[in-house]
Amino acid sequence: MFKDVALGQYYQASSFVHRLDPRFKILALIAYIVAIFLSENFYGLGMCALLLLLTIAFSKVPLGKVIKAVKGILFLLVFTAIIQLFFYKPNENAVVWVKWWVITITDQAVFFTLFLLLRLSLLVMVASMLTYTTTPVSLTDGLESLLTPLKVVRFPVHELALIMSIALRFIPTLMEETERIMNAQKARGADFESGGLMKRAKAVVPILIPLLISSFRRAEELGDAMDARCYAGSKVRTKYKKLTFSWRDLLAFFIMAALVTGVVLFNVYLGGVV
Amino acid sequence: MYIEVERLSYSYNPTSPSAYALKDVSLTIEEGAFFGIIGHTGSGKSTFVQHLNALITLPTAEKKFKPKKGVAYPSIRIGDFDLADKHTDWKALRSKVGIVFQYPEYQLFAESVKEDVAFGLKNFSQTPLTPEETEAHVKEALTAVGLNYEEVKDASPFDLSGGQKRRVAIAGVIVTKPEILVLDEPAAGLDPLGKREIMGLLHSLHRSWCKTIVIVSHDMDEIGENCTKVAVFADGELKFLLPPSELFLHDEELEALGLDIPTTAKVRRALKERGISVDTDFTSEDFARQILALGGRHV
Amino acid sequence: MKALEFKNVSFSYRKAEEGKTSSFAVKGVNFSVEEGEFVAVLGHNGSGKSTLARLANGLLEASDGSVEVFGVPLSEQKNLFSVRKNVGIVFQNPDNQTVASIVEDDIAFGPENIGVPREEIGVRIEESLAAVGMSEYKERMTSALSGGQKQRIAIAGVLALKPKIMILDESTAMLDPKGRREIMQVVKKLNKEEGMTILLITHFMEEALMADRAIVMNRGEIVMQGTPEEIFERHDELETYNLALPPIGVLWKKLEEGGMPVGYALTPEDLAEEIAKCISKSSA
Repeated sequence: MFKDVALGQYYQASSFVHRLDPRFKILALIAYIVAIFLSENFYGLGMCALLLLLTIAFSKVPLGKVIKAVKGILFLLVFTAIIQLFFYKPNENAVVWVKWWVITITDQAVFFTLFLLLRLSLLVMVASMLTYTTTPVSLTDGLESLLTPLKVVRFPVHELALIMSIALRFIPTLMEETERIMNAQKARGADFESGGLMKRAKAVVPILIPLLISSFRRAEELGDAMDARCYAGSKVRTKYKKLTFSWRDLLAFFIMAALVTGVVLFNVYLGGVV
Repeated sequence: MYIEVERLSYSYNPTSPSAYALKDVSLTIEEGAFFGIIGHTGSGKSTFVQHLNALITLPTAEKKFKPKKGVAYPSIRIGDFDLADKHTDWKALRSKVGIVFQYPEYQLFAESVKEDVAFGLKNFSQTPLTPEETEAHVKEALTAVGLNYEEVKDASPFDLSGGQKRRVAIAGVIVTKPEILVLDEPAAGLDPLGKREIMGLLHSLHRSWCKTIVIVSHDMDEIGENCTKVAVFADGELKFLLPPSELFLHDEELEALGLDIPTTAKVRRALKERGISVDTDFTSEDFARQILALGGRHV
Repeated sequence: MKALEFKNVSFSYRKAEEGKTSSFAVKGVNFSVEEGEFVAVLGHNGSGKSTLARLANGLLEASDGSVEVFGVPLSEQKNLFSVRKNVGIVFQNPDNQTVASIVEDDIAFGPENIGVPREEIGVRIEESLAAVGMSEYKERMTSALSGGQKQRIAIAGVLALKPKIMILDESTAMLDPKGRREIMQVVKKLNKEEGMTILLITHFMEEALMADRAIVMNRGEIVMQGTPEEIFERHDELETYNLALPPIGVLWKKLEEGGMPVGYALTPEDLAEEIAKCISKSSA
């Protein structure tokens, strides 16, 4: 049941995208998200989509894997689509396509819904691309490095980064464990699929409690293991992985800058989606 | 109840059929057997066990199943239960085929031992049981696993020792009186004494409680000492299906699969190299008897 | 030189209550391990053997007595770091010792903590992985490894700190026989080829056979000491400490009790040799 969860997974490959500096990738992700939200028409979004496709192609990550990420928010997409289709308030230029009972669907509503769906899908796909092409450790290294200025105000940057990397490291372990406990309780007749909300909520208890208890045990053992390996915070710590900007990052930077500029120009010269 | 498995194949990733977890496995486990399953991690034995309880369902039992012509679909029959039929009552099946997974103590969750053991009972019973009935069943199950009911019933399962926790977990599975009890590595992580106690417990359950016992194990000595018949899995295939007395004659083939052989089989081989042949069923009891007979013949 | 020395060490997890003496996990323990020696500590679950490991590198502090590593007492706080660097521990659960998702990043964790320069960390990663035979796994995900491989990575993670003593705290208990063999091979190699001092804590008698010396713990106290052969010869005593003979020992005992004068044997080869001798004698 957890095989569909795409976010937070790394896809091992050696590619242009994989080798980009994680700091740059995080900043690029932010720039990309800004570009998506700045876009007011399909041209801008189309450019974003094109860049995403190019990125996927250069990253050697199979397209199917990236699309899987969208599957994860399918419910959200359908929900948004329905709301938008029925409740979008069209202006006076709208053409009515469907009129039945209290439901009115206009051309504007359809375009706007499609626009929104594309926007959300792109968001999820680009975010999954970051985790697919960046190991959790370099991701946290990148974050740590970007957040370093916050150390001045005594923000525990190093600790936060470590917590994140450990959390990411334990995701597969805990998922495996959840599945194991679920199987064991199913074999004892537990039923997670039928009944009302209350019954289902109650059914989760026999999974949650063992999972919590084992997480505490794991935390304790991990703490010992870290102590035994001389962990004592960030004071004397060195870093094995050094982050360096290279020509790749420079090239990618110009592409990102072009994207954002392009989106703004499209907005100015081609107008909104409706 | 017997178990009859035919043509069982399974892949976790249907798009790349090379990654088969199980390949065309057919076997029968007779009622009353103390059956052993051997294989490395990843040999398919866990996947096999999950099928017995419909935790993994057969393709023909899927909701959206559409039959294709000319395909021989796998089938599993356990007593009267047809696991290839989607209309089979899985809950009824699971109450008759109990599975104790690896490290079962990690599935304990209730506030008290008696509540935890009663969990399966409550889930499986068609009509709600009275508190007296529940208590009677729970008491019986806890006694069967060698615990003192009065001492442990109100204790938190998390305050017990490792060995006791495991016994409580087993009680939580046998409380519904399954006819077949499947245990994945029942002795894993225990010290030698704990191991010996758990195997002793299984033998007493086999005589008094569950007709058929199936254990999955890495420990060849354990298998050789206890089982009446053994299935050996490797790379998703069933390589051997023999009683230990015949299986361990294939010592070289087993070792080629990266598996161990029991100590008795090792000594037997070393003796053979010295020109002494021993005919044994590979239990240490019988092996010692045969050797003593050899030594005594000439006295 | 003595690598590790316990001088009359006691430890209690709970603060000692009035009149209660039974709460000691370790009580009055005296023993030492020579540099380069391979010592096995045997005991059933709850005998206090794992507490020894935690006392040996300062994860726990002795309530009484002192623990010394190369003659330096652990009790002084300023020594703790340099001692931990010298005494590496590999724990039981393969899933709960890795901090990073990628093998090389996990191995780097220890050296990073003690401030090893970047270039040297790279070298240490290569060396440690080579020592456990997992060089080609450098960039793999730790979660996708087998139990035995995870434990080898845990050993490599400890080796990267360049310890002089390696403690294995039931590191094979959760592994299958294949994984167990892998670990024992690595441990043996480290001891024989690198001269690493090994303290192997286990309840598998078969593993103790590889050691130079074995110590048996019961109820927090050392009850037996000697070569593995000497220990196993006193098998009746072992059983009173809730320790069971390995299968080969069981077989040997059955033969002896059946009246066959087999000499003591700990491997199938040796036992077969002894049996052959007995049979040819009786036929002569």
